[in-house]
Amino acid sequence: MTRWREPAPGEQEAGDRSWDVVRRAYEERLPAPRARDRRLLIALVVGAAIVAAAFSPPGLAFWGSIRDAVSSEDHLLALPARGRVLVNAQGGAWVVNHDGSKRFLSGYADAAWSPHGLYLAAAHENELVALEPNGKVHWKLARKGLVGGAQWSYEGYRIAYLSGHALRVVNGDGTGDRLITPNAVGSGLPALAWRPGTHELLYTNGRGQLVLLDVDRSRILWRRPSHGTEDIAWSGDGRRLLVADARPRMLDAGGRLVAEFGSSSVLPAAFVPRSHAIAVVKVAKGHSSVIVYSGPRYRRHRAVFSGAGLFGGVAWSPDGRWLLVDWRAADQWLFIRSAAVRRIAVRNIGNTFDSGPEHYATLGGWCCP
Amino acid sequence: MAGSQGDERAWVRGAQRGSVSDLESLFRHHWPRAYRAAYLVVHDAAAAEDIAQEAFLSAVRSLDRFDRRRPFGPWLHRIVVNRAIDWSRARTLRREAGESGLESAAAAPAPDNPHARTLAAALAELSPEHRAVIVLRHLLEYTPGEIAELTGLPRGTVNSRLRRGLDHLAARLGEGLR
Repeated sequence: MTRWREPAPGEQEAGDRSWDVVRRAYEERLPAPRARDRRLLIALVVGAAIVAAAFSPPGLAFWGSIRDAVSSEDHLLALPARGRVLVNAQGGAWVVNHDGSKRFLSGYADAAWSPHGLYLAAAHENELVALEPNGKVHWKLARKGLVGGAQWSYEGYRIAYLSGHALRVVNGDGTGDRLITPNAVGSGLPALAWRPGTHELLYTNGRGQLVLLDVDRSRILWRRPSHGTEDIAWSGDGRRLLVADARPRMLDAGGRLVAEFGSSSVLPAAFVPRSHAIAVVKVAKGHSSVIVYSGPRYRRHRAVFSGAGLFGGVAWSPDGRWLLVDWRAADQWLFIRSAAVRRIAVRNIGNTFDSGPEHYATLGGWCCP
Repeated sequence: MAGSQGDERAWVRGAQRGSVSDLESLFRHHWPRAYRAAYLVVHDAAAAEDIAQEAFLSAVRSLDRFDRRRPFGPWLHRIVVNRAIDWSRARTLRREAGESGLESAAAAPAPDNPHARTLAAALAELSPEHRAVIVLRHLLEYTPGEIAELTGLPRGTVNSRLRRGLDHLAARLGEGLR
């Protein structure tokens, strides 16, 4: 049989229509272009200001409005709950403290909190680096090829990470690096997650299967098929597992089905601390909605917030009372009080983390009181 | 558009950095095969458009997290084919439940080429699962091993579905298919 080379009926027109939809979705996820537009705006308003200053006494007042218009002001003055927020941004990682102070860790990518927030594991080219949030490096490990995707086990004694196509595990003190599988990179997104309270690592293998491995005993506990895995996440007690693939669903620790979420994407998503309830993002007709699912079979659900465009991430405060939504399309972070309708909107997030049009700042977690 | 792996990685990298033109290159390169794959599984132009479009929207949503070490095509095709199979199963269930007619209103005309029309008709007689492996093998040109990975099926199941599917097509089209 020869390869099918004929266009399918309606292919071209459908492609044109779909490109419009895809382009709009893509542009909505982009922060508004800042640098170039701001330069243009500055040029225009400075010109106008010179004229105003030259010809009228209210020129000084006009300067005030200019300052507002071109501000790159940081509006993230404090977090509404204890803990620290990690942000992976252009050129490095940011650690945002409870009082709003921010530390930039230049050159690090793909940073992840240790379980108690005392350390970070981050990628620096072909090195895996363990460092304190103040930037003090404790150890680093060079591997062949790019590293990334580091995840700490629940007590910090193990770190799983990707090195090229391989999945490896190293002890929390940088010793005992070993290969888990040479080909953990299939055709989807990287997905690995330690089961809390154990040294059991869940990952997708090169054949697209979910594998739960007892790392210390080198014993596979179960395998399940998974098609197009985008992310996986354990509840805090390790008894519920979100599998975000072509059929998003909740499993128990034995890999048995608990609930399905329908066929659409549920990402980003985050379990409520100390609970099996979970906040997921669903997208329909250009709008994203954060929905909290709860109950034994996840039949109870409550929409918490909806907005135009895409949401880049969600993270619960460590006390579980606030939900942070990265509303990328609006260049805002929203802090939503989970028990009552109360919101704090923080704008200008792109400038705050220097993300610019080159790279979007992504949430790396809100950790540890 | 030629579209080597190097081009593809550059487009993904550009799209991750905010380049609409790189995203468009990626889209234009992959759209025909994504749409055709969906169409050949579901045999409904409107559904194929929705399925392929939703696969690209999923790609846009996940773009920041996409690992550039991995090829983009297999990831996209996996989404397309799995959703197309789901859609076909759901349509079968609707028919069994007596809810026919929902999909027929938006149906587009058959292909112009008589051979393509016959092939499409013969494919339509297969189950969605058999159609999917034929499409993955002979439209998207994956090896049986890669199809097993994409669909999560055992390699033997892929081979047997390919064999049965091709036998059926050979009988219908009257030509030697391998």
